[in-house]
Amino acid sequence: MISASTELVAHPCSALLVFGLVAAVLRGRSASIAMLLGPLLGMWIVYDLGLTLKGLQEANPMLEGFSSSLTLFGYEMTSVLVDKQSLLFGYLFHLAALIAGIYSFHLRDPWQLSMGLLYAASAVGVAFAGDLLCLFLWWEALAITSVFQIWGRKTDRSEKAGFRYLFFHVLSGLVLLAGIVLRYHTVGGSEGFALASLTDAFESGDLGAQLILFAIGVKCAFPFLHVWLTDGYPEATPTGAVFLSAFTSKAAICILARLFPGTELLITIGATMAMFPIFYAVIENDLRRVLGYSMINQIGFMVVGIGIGTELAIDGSLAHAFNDVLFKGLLFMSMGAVLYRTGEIRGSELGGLFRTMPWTTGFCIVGAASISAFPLFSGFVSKSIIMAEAAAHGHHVVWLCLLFASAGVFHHAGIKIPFFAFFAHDSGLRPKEAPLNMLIAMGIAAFMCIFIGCNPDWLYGMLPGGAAGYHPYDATHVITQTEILLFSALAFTLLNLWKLYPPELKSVNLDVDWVYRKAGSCFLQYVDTFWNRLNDRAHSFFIGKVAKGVADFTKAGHLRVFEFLSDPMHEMGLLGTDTKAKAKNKFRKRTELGVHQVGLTALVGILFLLLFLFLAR
Amino acid sequence: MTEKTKNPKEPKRWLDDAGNVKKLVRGFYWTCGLVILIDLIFSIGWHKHAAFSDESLIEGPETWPAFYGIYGFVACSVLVFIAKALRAYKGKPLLMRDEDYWEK
Repeated sequence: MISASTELVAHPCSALLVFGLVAAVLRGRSASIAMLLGPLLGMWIVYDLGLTLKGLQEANPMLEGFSSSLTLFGYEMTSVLVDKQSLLFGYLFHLAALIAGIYSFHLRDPWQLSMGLLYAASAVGVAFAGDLLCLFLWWEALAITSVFQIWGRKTDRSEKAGFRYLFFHVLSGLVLLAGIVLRYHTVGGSEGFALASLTDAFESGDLGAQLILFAIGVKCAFPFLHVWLTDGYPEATPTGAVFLSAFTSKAAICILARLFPGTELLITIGATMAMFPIFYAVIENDLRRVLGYSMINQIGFMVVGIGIGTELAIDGSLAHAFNDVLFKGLLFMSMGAVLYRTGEIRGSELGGLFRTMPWTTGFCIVGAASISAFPLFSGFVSKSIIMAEAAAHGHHVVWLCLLFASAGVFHHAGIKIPFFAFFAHDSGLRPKEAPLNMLIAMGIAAFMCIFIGCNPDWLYGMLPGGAAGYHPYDATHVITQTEILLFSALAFTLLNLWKLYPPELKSVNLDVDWVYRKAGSCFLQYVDTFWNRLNDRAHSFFIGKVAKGVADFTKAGHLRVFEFLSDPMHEMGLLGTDTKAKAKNKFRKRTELGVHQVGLTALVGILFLLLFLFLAR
Repeated sequence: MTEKTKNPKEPKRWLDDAGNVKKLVRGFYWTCGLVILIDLIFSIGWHKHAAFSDESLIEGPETWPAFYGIYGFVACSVLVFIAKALRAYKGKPLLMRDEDYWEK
């Protein structure tokens, strides 16, 4: 990559960082205002960086980006890298932070608010990281700042879920560090920390690159590493889930696109991710968990695009990440509003809310139409790039899987979420409409979804490759996409009318977390009963019996010896003229006190000396 | 929590009427039919772009009229039946557990 080096006035995430700290100190409404000022100021900084890049590119058209470095402990770190991709994610994360800030305007929890902004700042840091070392620092910050959105709910369940969430993210950070260190040792020098494509290294079996992919895979929710998402997000606060859905996985996608473009393996992983969660989503009762599964499904599309690795496919993935933050955020916001107003998020307990929450219903439907990729909504202009590229490069099976997943996502996120929350049977709940700030936040996200759907060139213009040569609105695409969506809806309608559709039941479904939440705790129980019992037995035998015997013997052993000797000594006349019993008692007392008659002591002394002589002979 | 429950005197909404829901569903069936018709006319009268550029097994069917409609319908039905089977297969629960399963 051709890039120039410049001095920067401020790191792009500094506005979010500063206002995050300010929000921690302020109380009441002023903290909420800080939540809005931080992202707005940050957006201006990113815009300014964009202008700088444009100016440099006018002078040198070959230039792709510029960087700023700083020297720390003898290492030169590229602390900021500004190119089209980092600018895209810079705008996106600031916009998401602004929307989430408005959404949580009513909130009075300084921990959640300030950590929310710091979390957004970490995501911006990841997007602008210039080398692997910087990436690691922001990666860790991302893990720690995010968990407060789960703990903020202050229930026993959310506390435990937060720890499980943290376990995965700390693991990801440690593995990333191990990978970076290995890369540094095999490549060496500043090259070792370079944020360049590791695809060749990975495919030639370099362990460092493999570990780095694993670490990114945890945050991208690769299959088997995905449970932190479906376990943690539904336990977050109504506002927290909006923050969570925006940053972690999209920052990971940003880095995956930088480090592993064109890695064949990612196509298989992505297709699996797009497929398996939809089955779970159909039978899941917690509607925010349904959104968690559909999030993995959407990330799957992005991972496939990165795996295909052409410029257009990667543009598609980045555009889809951009859109996903908006429509998934919108869906999480509408479900958050339902949870906030009713205290309930289980599909089996909800229904008929359209009567009193019409605006929330409308916004939710916009989000649902966008994630399902209806023409004129945002998903339509980004998901199709990935599908078209998969087809154009001959990935037939993957294409069929993605088409299946597209139908499936409409089925569970597009229909199920709005239908079971706002329509279906009348639950009898009549909550108030969502608070005004929530409605404004949802309105902005809904506007963006429709705006991007109708003006795809606005988004394409921000992509690194500009999605060159792709036109979403051609007649074939519009007709076929509408057709697949309508017929998916037809299947839903008919199955519902014929009573074949699985009803929402009060239940949970087993996922990979069974391994550590159940099998793991069984293992722990086994270890507890077997080893701890063994330990108890050993303790009672060695400490209770053997050691006690030795201690007793050393304390009272000599008494016993002298007691045993006292009778023969009395008979020999060595103990004076007292009766046998009296002499024995006296002898015992003297032994206890350690004071014997001089003659006796001398006798024993002589005996010892003789013994020595005898033995030393 | 500002939860309120149903008020028996509340006004009836348009969607509360079963007849209106039926109308909606019927309108939806007509829309499905219309889209298939448009697809048919477009496939015969104009040229439909194939998603695949090479000669492949899917390339032909992919451009047939109603391919996407059939695929979407079948995919969703398969999805629902597999998901149902994953919940419980022949009466034996596979993935589904009681709500307090993790707390037990």
